[in-house]
Amino acid sequence: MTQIIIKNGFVIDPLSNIKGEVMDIAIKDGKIVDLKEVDESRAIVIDVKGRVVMAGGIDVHSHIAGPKVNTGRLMRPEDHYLTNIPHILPYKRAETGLTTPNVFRIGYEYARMGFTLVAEPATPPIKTRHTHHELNAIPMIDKMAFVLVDSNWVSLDLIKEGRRDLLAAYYAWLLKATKTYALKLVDPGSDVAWIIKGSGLDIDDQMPEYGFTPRELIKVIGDVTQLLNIPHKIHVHCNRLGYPGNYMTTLKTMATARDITKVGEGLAMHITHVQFTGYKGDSWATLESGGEDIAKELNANPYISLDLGQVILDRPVTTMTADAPFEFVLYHLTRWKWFNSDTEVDAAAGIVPYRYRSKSYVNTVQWAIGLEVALLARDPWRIFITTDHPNAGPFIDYPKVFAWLISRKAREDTMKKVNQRALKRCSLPSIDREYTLYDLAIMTRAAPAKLLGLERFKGHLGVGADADIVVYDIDPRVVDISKDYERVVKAFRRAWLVVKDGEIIVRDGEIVKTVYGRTFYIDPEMPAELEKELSKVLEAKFRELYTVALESFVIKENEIAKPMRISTKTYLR
Amino acid sequence: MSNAKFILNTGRSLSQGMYMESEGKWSESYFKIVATIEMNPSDIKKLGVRDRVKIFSNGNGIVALVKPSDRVAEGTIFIPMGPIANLLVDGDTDGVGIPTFKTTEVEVRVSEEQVTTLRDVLKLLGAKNLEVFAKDLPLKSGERKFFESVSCPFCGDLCDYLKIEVDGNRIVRNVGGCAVSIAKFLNYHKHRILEPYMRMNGSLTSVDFDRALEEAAKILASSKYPLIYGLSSTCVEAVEVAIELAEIVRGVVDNTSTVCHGPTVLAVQEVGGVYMTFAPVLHLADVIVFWGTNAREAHGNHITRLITAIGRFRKGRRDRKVVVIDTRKTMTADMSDIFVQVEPGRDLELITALRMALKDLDIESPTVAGVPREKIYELAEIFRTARYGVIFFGMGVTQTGAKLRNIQAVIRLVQELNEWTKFVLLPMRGHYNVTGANQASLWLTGYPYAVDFSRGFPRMVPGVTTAVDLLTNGDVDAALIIASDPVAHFPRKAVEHLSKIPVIVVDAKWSLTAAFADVIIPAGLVGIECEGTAYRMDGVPIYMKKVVEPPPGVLCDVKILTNLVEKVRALKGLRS
Amino acid sequence: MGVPVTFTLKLKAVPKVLVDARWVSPDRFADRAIDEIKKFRVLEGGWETTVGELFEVIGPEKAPADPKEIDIVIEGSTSKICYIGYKMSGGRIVIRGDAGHFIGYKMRGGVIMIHGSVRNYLGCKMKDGIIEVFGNAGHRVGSKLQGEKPGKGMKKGSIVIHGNAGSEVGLGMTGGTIVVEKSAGNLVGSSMTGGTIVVKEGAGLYPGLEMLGGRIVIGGVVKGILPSFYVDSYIPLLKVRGMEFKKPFLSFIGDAVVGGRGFLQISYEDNKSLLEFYKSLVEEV
Repeated sequence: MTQIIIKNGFVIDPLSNIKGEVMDIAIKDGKIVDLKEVDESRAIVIDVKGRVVMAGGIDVHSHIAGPKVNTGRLMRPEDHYLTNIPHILPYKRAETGLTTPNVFRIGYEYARMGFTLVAEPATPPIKTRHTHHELNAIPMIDKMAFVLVDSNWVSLDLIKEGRRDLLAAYYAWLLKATKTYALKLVDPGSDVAWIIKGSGLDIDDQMPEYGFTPRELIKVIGDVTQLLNIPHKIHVHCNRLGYPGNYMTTLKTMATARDITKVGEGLAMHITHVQFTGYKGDSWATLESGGEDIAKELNANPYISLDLGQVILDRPVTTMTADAPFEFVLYHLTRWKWFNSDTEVDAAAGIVPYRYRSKSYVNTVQWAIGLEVALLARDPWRIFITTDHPNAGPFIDYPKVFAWLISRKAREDTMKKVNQRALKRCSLPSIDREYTLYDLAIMTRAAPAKLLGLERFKGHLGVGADADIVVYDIDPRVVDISKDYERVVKAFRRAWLVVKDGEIIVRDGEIVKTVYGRTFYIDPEMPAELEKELSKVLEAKFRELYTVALESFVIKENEIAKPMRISTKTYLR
Repeated sequence: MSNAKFILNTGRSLSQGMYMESEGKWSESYFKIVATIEMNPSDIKKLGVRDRVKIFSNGNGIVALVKPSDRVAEGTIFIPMGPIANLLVDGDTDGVGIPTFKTTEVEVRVSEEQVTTLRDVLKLLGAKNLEVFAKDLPLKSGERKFFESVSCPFCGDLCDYLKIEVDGNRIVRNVGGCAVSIAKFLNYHKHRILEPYMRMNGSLTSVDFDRALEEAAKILASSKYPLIYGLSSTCVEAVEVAIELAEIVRGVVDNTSTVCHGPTVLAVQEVGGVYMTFAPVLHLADVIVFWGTNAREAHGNHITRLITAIGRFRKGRRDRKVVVIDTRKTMTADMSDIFVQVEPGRDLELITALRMALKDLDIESPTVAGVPREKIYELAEIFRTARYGVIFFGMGVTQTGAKLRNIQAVIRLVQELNEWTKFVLLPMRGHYNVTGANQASLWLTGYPYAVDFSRGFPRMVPGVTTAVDLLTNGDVDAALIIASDPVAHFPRKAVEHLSKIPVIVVDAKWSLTAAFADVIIPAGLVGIECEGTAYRMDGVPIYMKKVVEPPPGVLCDVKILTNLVEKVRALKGLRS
Repeated sequence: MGVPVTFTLKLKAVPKVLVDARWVSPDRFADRAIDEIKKFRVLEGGWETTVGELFEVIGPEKAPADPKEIDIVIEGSTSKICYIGYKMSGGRIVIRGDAGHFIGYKMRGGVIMIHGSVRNYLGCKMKDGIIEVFGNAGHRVGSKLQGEKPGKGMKKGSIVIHGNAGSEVGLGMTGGTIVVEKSAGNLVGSSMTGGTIVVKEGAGLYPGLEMLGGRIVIGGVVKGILPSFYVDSYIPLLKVRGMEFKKPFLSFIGDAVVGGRGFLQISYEDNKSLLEFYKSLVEEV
């Protein structure tokens, strides 16, 4: 296999505590190795003097695959008409789409930005096989999916029946059966209310037919993930998303993390795309930012991590979420296209095209919230940059978000163009903080690797790590990134060099080779006794609830193109 | 003798499906079914028909036997889906890609001429070869095996609870399948293509696999704009390879939704949709509408799975109200609580009136599309007060009149109903994996079907890149047909173009399209001999098992297409 | 402005597959030498060829810089050649025969005349200019593209078709005029938000479906109208854009299901059995 030496790069690697040193990095058999192990005369030697070297980027929340992503593509042919890049055979397939890109565009654009691992954050169990088909088809990156559990009738039945041990066993089985990586809660409990009654829920409302509240549900599932000892515990999209005043619900949700009984390592709860659930005020007209309050709770609550869901202004987006009741509400604002899918007995989803406008009061507040949270958070290890692609913006705009975080000037330049009345009600203009490239490397590499429990071989450049390496054409020793933020946008938009599993896939910002990454999934260990008991329950539940056979539901390992099984030692008895 | 004007409707029937799967499309029994015209007894009397009539449409005349049936309204005739019906259908697609399969105006004349035979029909269409080398796979008893949770590769219901019993390579029992499913499994060995063929000096000659593949690759690599068509009766893994092939040769790849639920897909592109998977229907639906679909005949198990079955909150048939809206009193209508007979091709008027009733807008006309105004208000009230309503709709809505705009309006109706209650809809997809063909096409190209790669990136333009338009107007110069039979389903002019261009057929059974083939490559039957994933009509993907091995020397679609891609790449100098 | 120069493109052989000839437009020709024009890229199916391969190109050594001074004449008839006049802003294209899809796609000005028939999407998304077809036109004349919002179709300018037109004439159009001298297919003017469509003879099913604004005039037999159009008035003699119909029309407003305020005017005598009832409603008031 290819041996590569990346010479003279300015290396930033927070997990190895390297804050910017000129170093050489050696690659052999897809891994980073000690320089001594590579024969320089036989290796490809690339001199990257004056450029930054980081580990491949990791995105913890981006809707890149699955039934709703595909329905988004179906619903938005107009998104494809002017966004095509022809194929270059034999090494590059055709790309199309901005907010609903095809699999090739997804893989290639992430690679061009130097991202090498992306998590699809919501897949309905019964259609997860579909999600895997798409993940298999996405080139360049490693990937994983989080499975939706909050409105799953089987688990709700078990909670109602008070069978906590079986519930844990069921989630363990579900992760393995669907080949997914973590449990996702979307507007907890709401899809049950939506499918049965056509409405949503707040955190202390009672779920129809089940009689307990989303708050209790979050706690139960949180406790169970502790028992399962899975690396990424619960991934929560809060109730009342998209409603003015919902920041209170978010604060309450964050507080539940304190109640979760902790037995394992790692953060107890991840709150996702917090911008959408950070609204103060009692109507759209009086909307204010709840960013400060949320950042305060984050700083005080050590069990929580957040990602932004940063709004990108003046770009079309396609909102798609398993929060079906919210999409129905949004459809009333746009009155154009709305797709809803009630998915078996385990989830629902909605899709509505939208556009955030810089002149809009509401959209400006939304834009400010994400940045406020990010800039007021003290610990970059617990805050992640996302646009909840394609909900708040397409992922290809991450470099813009980077610029807003590292440069006050970048924010000021954008603030000139937005709704000024809205700005007056936000604290963003008064915030001076500027992140460094080191912080950025934490937020996009080191911290996500840790959050996903993959810090052994992802997110750093130490010996033994996967050779996912990116070189950006910028030298922070020479360029003042705070002033010259456009250089940062340019450099991060198109990486100068990307190595994936030891192969060069991007040079000078362009794809030079199509490769396919792995799909990570969790296989929690289960005591045989419990497994036996569970299988009886499953058979009965499937016969009653599902319209597929239990056997059809289970995804076999050979259906995943390049599976990467991570087993965990559980506390199940 | 004077001609009488009739409206021609076509559609699936149970016996058409059964004979197609058991005896094959070249059999007398299949042809007899698809060449029999159903006519209202009073029309038969009025015309003075003895046992046959001659039907004309766009100058084509065919003679066929008549069967009296009070299921068809006066002034209309019904011919099951097949080559005869399609001979009469006009190739124009209204820019939507789907011909007006239903509500075609035809002229009917009493006749005593010889009944048109299948070979007459094929000759009329310009078939290249009429020899049929279909063989039955020799069966040998042997090891007995039982398979559970087998999925059925026939219709979009993709039942995955069949129990199949196998004796050697003989399938002896199918428990749980509908009549068509049983016919399909138990006769899987019949009318097979067991060797590759090439047309040489005007007749088909058996050749080895490599030779046939080489020739197929040559045809594709040397054509400027080939059409790759079919794909709804194979697995998504094969669909993905077929799309890659289209990208390499810069041709068009289309699947059969182009002639069935294409308009549905186009309507979703315009307004979205409100779909569900089966379980919410089972557990919650109390109002179930079948609109322009004869589910009981075309989707044998649909009713028992979802309507009569017991769900958590709905205890079977008695907890549900069944409404059937159709142009004729189908077998599905026989089991309905409310049957609404709508004038053929006028569904959009009825949908619009229902939307008006919901919005409290006055309906001025006392009848709409043949339905009294009061009945429309009643229907709107039933919909509005449902706890969980669902509309299953079929080709009766997609193939007539306003086509995609019918569906667009139904989707809007359902979206508007959600202001009042929970309401969803779902297209009754015909082929077992047509949904999967759409899905794979979407994730690879961004478009559900009719994807053109002539510019090196995907494009889809209904009416331009759709298979029927391309063939009817002679816009393509080669065709690769995979697991599909356009000769049995496309209008005459489209089929005629297949006689003028090189055609490659990849199929398990000897289809009518084989009569137009220059290269024939045998394939294993997906879901019986080959594994792979199919998507149920509601988008639930199921990995299909195999219960027997493919015939000796016969490969599965994925393998065949992967080999073909390699060969085409080599010819085009595109080795990676 | 100088005297226009003419480039004549003589078709060498009839292509067997669809051809994308979007570089055939005065804007592309402007300021180019004839040898450059001959080398313009044309796609024959998925294969690249050139204008010079497909046509014999006759014209001056160099085209003027202003597209308005360029006439392009295409001789030879084929329904395969598509996208002629793509985004043209001025000048004139004359096609002496049939042409394919997307003629005058996104056109911004100038004139296209076709002495034959064209296929689908004539004048699709056109912003301005004039198109005249002496034969028939296919479906979706002056339309938007699939999946776009209503109003994303033709914006300004005029399309005159001397023969018949297909279905969905003016789909999603927002301005301009389309005149069909003979009859049109189903769904004339669906989702239109403005502009005028005049069909002098008959039309198919349901003109004006989901129209929000604009005006549709149908001078012959209509195969069906939607119940969501409310009858407004009886017009004994109709004038529209300088055309006069010396017969009575019934005028409807709709489409009510989308809260539309468009006018749909249908010849009364030709559709007496369909419209008699509606006329009685106007008379009662």
